[in-house]
Amino acid sequence: MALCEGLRGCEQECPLAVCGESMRVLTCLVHEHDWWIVLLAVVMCGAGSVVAITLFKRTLAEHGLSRLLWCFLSGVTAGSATWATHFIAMLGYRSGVPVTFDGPLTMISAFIAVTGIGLGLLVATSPTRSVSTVLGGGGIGLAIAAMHYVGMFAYRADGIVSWRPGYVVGSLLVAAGCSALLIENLRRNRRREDKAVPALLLGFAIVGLHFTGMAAFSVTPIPGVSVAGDSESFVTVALAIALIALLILGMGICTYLVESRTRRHSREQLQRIAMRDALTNLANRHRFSEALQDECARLARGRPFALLMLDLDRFKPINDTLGHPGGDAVLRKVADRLRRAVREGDLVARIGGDEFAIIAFGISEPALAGQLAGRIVEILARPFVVDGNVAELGGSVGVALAPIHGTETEVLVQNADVALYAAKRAGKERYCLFESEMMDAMQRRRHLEVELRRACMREDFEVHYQPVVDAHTGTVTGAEALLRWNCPDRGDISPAEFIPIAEDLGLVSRIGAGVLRKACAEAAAWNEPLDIAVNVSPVQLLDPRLPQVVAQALSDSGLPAERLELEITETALFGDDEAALRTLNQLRDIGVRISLDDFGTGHSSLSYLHRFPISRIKIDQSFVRRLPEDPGSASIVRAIAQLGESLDLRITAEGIETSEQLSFVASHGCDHVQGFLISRAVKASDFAELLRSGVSIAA
Amino acid sequence: MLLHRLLYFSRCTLASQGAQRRAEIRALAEEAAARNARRQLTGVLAAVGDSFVQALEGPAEAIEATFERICCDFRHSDMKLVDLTPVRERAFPGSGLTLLDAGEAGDLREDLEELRFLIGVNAREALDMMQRLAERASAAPA
Repeated sequence: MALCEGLRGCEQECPLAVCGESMRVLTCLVHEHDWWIVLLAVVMCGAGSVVAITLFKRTLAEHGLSRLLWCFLSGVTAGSATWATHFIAMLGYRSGVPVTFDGPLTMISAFIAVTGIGLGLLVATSPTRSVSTVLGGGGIGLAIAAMHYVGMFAYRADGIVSWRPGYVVGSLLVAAGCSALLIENLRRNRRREDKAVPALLLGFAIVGLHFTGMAAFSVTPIPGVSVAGDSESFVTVALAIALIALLILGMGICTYLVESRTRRHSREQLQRIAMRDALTNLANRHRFSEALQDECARLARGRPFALLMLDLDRFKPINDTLGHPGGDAVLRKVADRLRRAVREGDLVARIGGDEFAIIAFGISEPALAGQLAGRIVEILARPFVVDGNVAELGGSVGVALAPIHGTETEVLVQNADVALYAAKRAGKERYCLFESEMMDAMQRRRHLEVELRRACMREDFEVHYQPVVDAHTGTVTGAEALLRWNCPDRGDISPAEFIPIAEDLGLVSRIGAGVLRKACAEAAAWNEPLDIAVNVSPVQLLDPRLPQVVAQALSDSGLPAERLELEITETALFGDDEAALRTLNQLRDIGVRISLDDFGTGHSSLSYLHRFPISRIKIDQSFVRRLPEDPGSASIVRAIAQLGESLDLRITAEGIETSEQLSFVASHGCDHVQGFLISRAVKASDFAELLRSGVSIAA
Repeated sequence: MLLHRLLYFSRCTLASQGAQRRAEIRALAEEAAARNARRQLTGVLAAVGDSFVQALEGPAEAIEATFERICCDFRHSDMKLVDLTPVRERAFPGSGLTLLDAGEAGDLREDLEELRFLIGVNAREALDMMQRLAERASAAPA
């Protein structure tokens, strides 16, 4: 120190000129300032830098109007803190001469700090790196410098003031340089937590600027003028300034914190809304997919779970009768019941109109999963009361277990769906656990659906003919036309399997029309005027075009109507029997006959025989099979035959396989018989051959 | 006030038997009676063998909410809703819920068995029977 004390006012040749400048600054700092006030200024600078950097970071992340608002906030807060630091430090400067502060200039310097930093920050938000760092950062630094020097002009010292330009330039470089680096750092590092380096840079800019600037300044007392200190009042003012500046800092940081919290709350609320089904407040499809994904990821750590896919049965009629508000009320109650049926922590989601999904955590036993599914089915079967109306729903559930039935989301969902499908096909209002055979069955069905459609387009079906003979004479009186389908890669498919599929696909009418055409044409070509019987499914009977189709087939083939007999089952009459009656009457008017097939097996209502234009009853083979030993079957067959006789109906017995059966039915009033004993169903050509050779099958 | 009356029967699924089950049912009924009283509901609960038969009357919204609560209870299952109609006056003006059970002496047993049979056959008669039994029960000393 002794070495350099002489440097004041004497910055000429000195062996220590290199470190001369820094020593000058240090000396200035140490000797020419009031320590306590300097400390206060340092605290101000520190707090100010930290808050300023927090706000700067936030500002740089904003766009549009928000950006301007944040620039204002940052400018006011940082500017106030910077100005306060400067002013407090000035108050602590022992110049050794009487000092007054020029009011207006002091205020202008504060204004420069605020606006300069605000505008500099605005420029710093530019996406271009050079503009942002150099112009923006540099601008902030120069604003701080401008504030300092205007503040210095406001510092009226009664003495001879002298300036060292070198230090002035140095101070500008320090300020601008540090600020530019600071902006560069903020741009590169967006993390909220990394505030240390930029805060230090800002602090250094302010402090460095201040003391280098002060080193540029010196005032020598005028001899004779009193050296008044006025310390106490300065301390009071410094404290007052500090207090106000700290309050401004406080406001600045509070605004930031309030805004942070609000944003977080909004984001959480939005998340909640985005993840919830609005009507039932269950998880929605989005959340369900996410949760399923998470659970599949956890499987590797040994956390099994069960996936249940649930479909409401009979919900659509309720929407129709109660309207949408009623339907909504029911859905809300369904959601509540599901919540109660599952265990604490299980996820219930609504993924469709009346579709739900449940993830049951920690379940690996099929039995447990079945129990849960059973509880759900049961609780949904209980009645619902909505606005004084009673609604009876029901639910079908498909269950897949992870990891047994799959470890990926798509596989699990698919398997649970297959199980659900099986539950629906098995009659609804039940649950089904996935089995790999179900997948095979479903794939087979899908395949058959595709092939059936194609076969329908190409009319790729065959009609076989099973001879019908007179029960007493054994002569062939006609044939029943039976549909056969050979699937290219699966072989012969039994009608019991493909007819229901055809019904579901809506292809039955078309296929049936084809069968009628073929059968009529074939029968017309026989050398004898025998009867031909064609099966008509319940779906066909409900089609109002049926009489027209029949008439067309007859006229195209030239077959007389009396030779055609249409066989319908009792289920066809069970449903919409007004329409069925109309159609049957129309058919009778054309001249074709109607027979009731599989008699005795369905809802055998004797009123059908009375109301509908039936001319023949075909006794189902289940009764014939146990003849003649089983007395029950014998009585039934006898009874049906007598019924037929008294109502003037003809009787056919189906499924004759033994000669005993044949003799029994023949002696108990059956007119015609059909069965393997007589002949299987054969191809058209074989049947024609059979007729040509004039074979009659003896009783 | 728009009054509705609801009548249903169900199957008890409590695991307990005998005296313990009777005690549980009594507790259940007391809880229900208190809740009903708060919502201006009155009714009767008959417990016979493994069956419950219950009649409830009161304002429509209360009936709806309470029935939903009943249907979320796993202490019974297989609910069959026999009747839900608007009515002009209460058939069971007594307390929130009168419990009819066979008791230790088993004196009501025959009547309750008949009630269980009736409820599946003729709602009107079952209701009349419940009314009679309820009146008798409230007239008898506690």
